[in-house]
Amino acid sequence: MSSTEQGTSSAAPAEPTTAPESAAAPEVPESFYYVHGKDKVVHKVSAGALQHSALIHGMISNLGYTEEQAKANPFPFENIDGDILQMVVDWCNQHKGKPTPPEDTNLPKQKEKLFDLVLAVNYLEIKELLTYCCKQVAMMVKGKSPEEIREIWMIPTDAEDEAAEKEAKKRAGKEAAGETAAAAGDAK
Amino acid sequence: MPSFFTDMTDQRFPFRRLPDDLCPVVLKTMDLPEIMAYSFVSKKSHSMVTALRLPVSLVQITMKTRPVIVAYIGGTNMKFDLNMHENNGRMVNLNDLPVNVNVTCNHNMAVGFREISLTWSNQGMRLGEWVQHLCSIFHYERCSIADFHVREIEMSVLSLQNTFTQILSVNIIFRQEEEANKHDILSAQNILKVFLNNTYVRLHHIPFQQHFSIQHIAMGNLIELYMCSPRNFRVDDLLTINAERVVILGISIQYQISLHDMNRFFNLWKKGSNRNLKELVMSWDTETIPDWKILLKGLQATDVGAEMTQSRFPFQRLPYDLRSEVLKTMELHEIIIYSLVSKKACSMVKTLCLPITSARVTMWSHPSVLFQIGSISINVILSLLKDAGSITRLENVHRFYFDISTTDKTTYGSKLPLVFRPKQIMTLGQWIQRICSIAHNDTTYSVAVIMEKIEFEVESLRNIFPKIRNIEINYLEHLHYHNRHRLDLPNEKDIASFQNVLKAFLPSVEKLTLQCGPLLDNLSIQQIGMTNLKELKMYSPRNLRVEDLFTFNVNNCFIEASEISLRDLNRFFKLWIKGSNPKMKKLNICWYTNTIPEWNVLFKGLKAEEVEEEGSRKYVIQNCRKVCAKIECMTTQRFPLHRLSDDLRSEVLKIMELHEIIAYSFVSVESSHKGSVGFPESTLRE
Repeated sequence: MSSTEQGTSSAAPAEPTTAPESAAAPEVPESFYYVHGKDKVVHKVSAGALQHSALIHGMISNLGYTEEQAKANPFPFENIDGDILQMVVDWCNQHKGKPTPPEDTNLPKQKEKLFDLVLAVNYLEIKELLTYCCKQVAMMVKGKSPEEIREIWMIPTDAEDEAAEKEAKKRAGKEAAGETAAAAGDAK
Repeated sequence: MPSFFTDMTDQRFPFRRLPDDLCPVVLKTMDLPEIMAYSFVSKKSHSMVTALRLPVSLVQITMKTRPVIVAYIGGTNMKFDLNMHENNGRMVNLNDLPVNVNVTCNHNMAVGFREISLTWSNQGMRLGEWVQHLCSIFHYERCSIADFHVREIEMSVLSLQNTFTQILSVNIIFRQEEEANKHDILSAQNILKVFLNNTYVRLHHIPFQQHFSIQHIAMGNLIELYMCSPRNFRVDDLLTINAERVVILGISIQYQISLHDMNRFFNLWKKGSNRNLKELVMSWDTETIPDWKILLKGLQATDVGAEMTQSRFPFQRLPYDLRSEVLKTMELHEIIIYSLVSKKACSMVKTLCLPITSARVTMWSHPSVLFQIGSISINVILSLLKDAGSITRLENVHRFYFDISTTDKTTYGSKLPLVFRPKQIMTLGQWIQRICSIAHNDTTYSVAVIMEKIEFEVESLRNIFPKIRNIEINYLEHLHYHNRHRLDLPNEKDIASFQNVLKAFLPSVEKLTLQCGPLLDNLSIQQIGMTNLKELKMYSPRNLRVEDLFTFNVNNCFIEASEISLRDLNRFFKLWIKGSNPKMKKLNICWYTNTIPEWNVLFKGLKAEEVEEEGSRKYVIQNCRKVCAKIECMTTQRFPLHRLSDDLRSEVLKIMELHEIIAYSFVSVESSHKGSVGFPESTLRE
């Protein structure tokens, strides 16, 4: 398994301040966790950045891993492409502990990546990023007619829908018939 | 003779001695007309009403010969018609005293809401003071539109500044059919001087000329400059405009726009002119197809459209809930457009349960569905192509284009209409069915029909509008537009169509409103009344006989008739006592008459007991089942004061308040009387 540490400087523990020690609250070292996608490339992310993801936050909240344990047990997200996970991790790091801006210009412009990103973000339950992504999808059809929407969003016509449904029914019927035939064969 | 006005002067309540925090609590329980009336009582009452912060979504002030102020408060609108003295020039000045003020309160959504109509004195206030008074109550946010009809008003800059504060949108309206005169130009200039900062300015038929060019407007810090059918408009003038959004529509062929000029404008914009401009929309009539090469010469423009159509997004492959999320981020009109993509798209939009408060389907040569979603109106029009003939049946396939426009009352902003031709082959009925299906079941539907254009068949109507519980069949409306002369002579086709519409909906409908419908014996008013309706409203019904009422089975009934006999009503009440109309909870009959009704005739032999309740006088009768009904008579009665002798009139005036005497000095006597009689809302059971 290849491993690259992707922690950014912003994710590093904060330097101690010059304020009197008695007045300052005891510094809690920031904990880091590790995630990897389909490509097995491991990304180091701070717990603060991961708070954006309700899924991961729920997973880590009760773990109490040490640094070594966390490194040894990266969270596997096999259903997410490596480059998409990289985008998500970057976004989480960029927006760690910050109020989310009304517009996000860092979203991918290629529509193929946007599709996978939407699915990944939805899976990881990152609410703010999901809203941005949905808005991005919606912007694609702004001011378009139904015909243009159908083309851009690749929506089949009613006739195509009906034909596909018929085909699916036919296939299901065939499969069911095949299964019963196989079951009958087995019984014999 | 029973009196229908209660003398309130014998009742006293020291309202102002209530603790400060209790007064607003009482006010909040009052209806809008009373709250507004209270605001005129004193300065303190005015500030108390202002402090209530009524949830006003929009105030529209129209300055013309007869100024009108309308406030939209939730679903209610309150209209103040200020009747001014007619003077020769027909100019309205802010220092003029109104003769009186007609106040109307209406509810947009509530079915069965009775319009409240009152006439107030001018309260001793000048026009400008009326505007200020009402605006101070309504204007805690910038949500006001002022329409100025320049020919009909005469206002100085100072008076405008003092009176109209916090105006968001200004409409300056020139007479379309007439050349502008010096007065018009001066009026417009004065208005523009006041409202050129941070506002939406809309100019209708503005005539640009040597001393009145767009430069007078352009330098203002406008949010939007909207010009409808400007005269003598030049593209070069655009360069001086400082607005964020510029919309110029309806430039007539007479003032052709040159593509060379447009090209020059774009070139200069590239070099840095019009820095504030974010959106420019222009539309003009032309007989030639625009040559893009001229328009885009030297601009190095890239074809964004081509780029957009190349990009694809497999939307259908997203999980269902994600698709919903995407739709939720879209604007309402975009969601409606999406619903036209396919059946699946439509059913998805339906599951979003858009907060559509009302939908009005108008069936005519260009059928339309108007959705009201809060303050936003979305109108979907199916416009027939010129060569497509006319619509005859809902089952036919017609060639038409969609025209979808959006207007927001709150910001007075309107989106550019989206016009497109659908490629899907569907019948007119199927399209309307699809559009209507996005509204939820509680949506108030009303249907207006034009009988001579489309043949309505019972089955097709039932298929297209299933489960509609609330229908308004409006026969009158189209006559206003098209052939009013036919009002008295509905032809057989009209009658058949009207009856087909009725037959289609009558079995399932709960609330039915009929506007001036032509009916025959095979489907009479009596038959309609006998169906199990919750509410029946009839405006100017033809062939109404009081005998029809005896068999009515509806819960609530409202009838506005041209004339009704008190003897007949007396007969109705007698039969009710004997046990007819057991289901009826409320009956309201309203008619106009030039004579003061003889109420003795109405109550003859009824053994009606007079009761005083909530300050008004009512009569109670009891039927054989021991069910009591309250009868209330409301008239806007008049007293012929001018027929009293001079001495007596002086005596009356002496006991009046000073401001009432001043108001009286402007009064002109009205001669019409309006009378109504009916059971009020509740029936009592012993």
